[in-house]
Amino acid sequence: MVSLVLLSHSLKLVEGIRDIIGEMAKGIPLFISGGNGTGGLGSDYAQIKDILHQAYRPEGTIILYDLGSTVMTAEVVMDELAQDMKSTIKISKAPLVEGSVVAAMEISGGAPLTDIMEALTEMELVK
Amino acid sequence: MNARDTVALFKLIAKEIEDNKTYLTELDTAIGDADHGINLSRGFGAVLPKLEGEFETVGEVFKTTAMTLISTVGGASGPLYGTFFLKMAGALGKAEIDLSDFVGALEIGIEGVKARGKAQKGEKTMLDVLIPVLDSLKNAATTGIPAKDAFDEALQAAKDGCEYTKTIIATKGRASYLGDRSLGHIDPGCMSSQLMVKAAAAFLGGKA
Ligand SMILES: [Mg+2]
Repeated sequence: MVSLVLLSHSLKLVEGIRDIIGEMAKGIPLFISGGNGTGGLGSDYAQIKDILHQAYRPEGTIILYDLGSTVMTAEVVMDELAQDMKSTIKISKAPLVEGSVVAAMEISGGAPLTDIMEALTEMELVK
Repeated sequence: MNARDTVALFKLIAKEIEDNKTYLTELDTAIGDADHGINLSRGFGAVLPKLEGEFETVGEVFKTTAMTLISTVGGASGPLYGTFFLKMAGALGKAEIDLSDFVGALEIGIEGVKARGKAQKGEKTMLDVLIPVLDSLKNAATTGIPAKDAFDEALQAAKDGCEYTKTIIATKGRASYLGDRSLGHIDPGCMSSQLMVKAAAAFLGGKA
């Protein structure tokens, strides 16, 4: 099963999305990181590194994010990964909330990474 | 410049950031999310104790600084300055460097920032200071003037770069959501970059 990683400047934001997804798609591999790790807004390198390792699946991992700097932190982590692991991770520019719901439903239905990314590509924002 | 000099330089940069923490945050309040000074101050505050270690090469000092900023800054400037110093570190694996080594590393660092931020010159980002500084230092390196004079000229290029950001609209980062309301304001990332060049110029001035 493909795993889903949600990154936001705000922990509350991704916790809320996790609640929404939980109503619809239970039991999918979902990982969230929000905030700077000390209770403020921002991103936390150590936590993002940790969840990207936890999220690792040979089937693939999809990252959805809100604003640019959270994804920059994820990209720093990805640059440190071995190429075979890095290549399993895809970053999507779909809107965080709607993209999360679409991805979660696709994942729970057992869709492969390429199909899910195709569905998300149609939703892409300028980010 | 050896590893010990590099440690002293980063200590001076940390002080410069700390002294201007409020100003940097004010700039970021006008067109961003009001955290640039706070974030960089937290980052360099965490770098300081790490500089007490033993370093054999200049690159090791850059790498330690980079990894600490990536881990502690929490905003966009963490991965951006982190990537910048980390890429430079890779090109500075020597016990002693000269101006042309530094210029070569700076160019690689700037390429790293461009890739990480998916940005170019003219988008109201730190690149609008870093690129003119590189051009200035490149020019100085070919004329063979002392490093101190080279950095004095580079500081002027940095100041001009900062002023230039007042005249352009941000197309990257949080300020891009403001559209033309970002006009008339200095980019905070440019100012923190300028402060780092200022520290380098002051450091080399003190040494000479
Ligand atoms: Mg900011």
